[in-house]
Amino acid sequence: MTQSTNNSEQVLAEQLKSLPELEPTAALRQRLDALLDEATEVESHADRNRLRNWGIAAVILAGLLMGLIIGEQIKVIELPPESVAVTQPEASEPTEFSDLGLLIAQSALLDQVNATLPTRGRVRNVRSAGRITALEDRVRLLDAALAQPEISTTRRAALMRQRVGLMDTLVEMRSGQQPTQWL
Amino acid sequence: MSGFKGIEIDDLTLQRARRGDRQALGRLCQQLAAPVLTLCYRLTGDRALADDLTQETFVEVLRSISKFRGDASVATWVRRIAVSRCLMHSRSAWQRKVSALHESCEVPSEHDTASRIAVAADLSAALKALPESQRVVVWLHDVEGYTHQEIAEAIGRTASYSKSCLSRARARLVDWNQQGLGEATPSLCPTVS
Repeated sequence: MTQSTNNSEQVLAEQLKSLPELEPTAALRQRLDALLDEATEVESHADRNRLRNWGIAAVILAGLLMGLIIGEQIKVIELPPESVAVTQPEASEPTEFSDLGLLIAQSALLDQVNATLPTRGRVRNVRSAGRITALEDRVRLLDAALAQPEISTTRRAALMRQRVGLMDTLVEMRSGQQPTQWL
Repeated sequence: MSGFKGIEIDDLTLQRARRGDRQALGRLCQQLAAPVLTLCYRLTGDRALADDLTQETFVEVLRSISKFRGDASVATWVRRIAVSRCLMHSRSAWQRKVSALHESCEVPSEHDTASRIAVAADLSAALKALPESQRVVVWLHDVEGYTHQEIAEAIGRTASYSKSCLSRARARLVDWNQQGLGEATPSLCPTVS
């Protein structure tokens, strides 16, 4: 490489470095301010609501467990005496039912958290807003499937598991928080 | 020079920012918004897109600041995020261009002579007129101080590719400058006496 070439490259580099810095417009500064407001408000909002939401979850779980216990007792009461000795317990159904109960509780909790997230302001750009809309559409489809009357417990549990995953992602995107480690 | 050079975030502000303190985060954004915006604009050549990418950069900064380990300065870390956002945005277009160019950096110029002269009179416009690959490489190397290896890792190519792009970008900028100058504008090639 010649001295002349080196010099011209150095001059070019200096001139590139001297190009002026851009200043954010007022509109961009407002967007960044809104971003900060959302991020810090969600942080404190989530702190205040966390205890309340765990309380709600605890109530829901307690209700489900009570339902499980009562349901099991009813089954025992309803069985004819002669069938008790020979009837094998259906190992899979109680497990699926208890898993389903937990998934329903998780989903309800996520619905609560999602409902508390502020909707005003513009946290993300159009692409993120599109992804949020797509997630909400998928949740609605799952809800429609879950509303079908003739649906097995296994199928319902699978759909609820998907719903919990989608709602967790939705809450994460809307709040900017890390995803919660769900069961 | 790189807008990120010389930006120092004091430890107290950083600690408070990591805890989600609104004021500290605001100070961080205020100091880094202009360098991030400038970087995004110089890499993409599109002001509206640069605004969006600036916002996306700070979304990621706010999301990840609590996990910032301090192995580099905050400014360097934020710059890395901004570069990543810009390159992610253009990756599919980038790949299409690379395959169309058959591993070379050549893109037929669409400028007529008058436009090339106008472009050459304004280095900012000349930079914007470069093919994207060359624009990214020359800015990251000559202004932001990235090595070819760092550029290669960022763009998913080899260091040789980066060197080749840089060479072509510089040649193009110098050539445009020489063609469009006359005596009106200082030359990028100093006169050798």
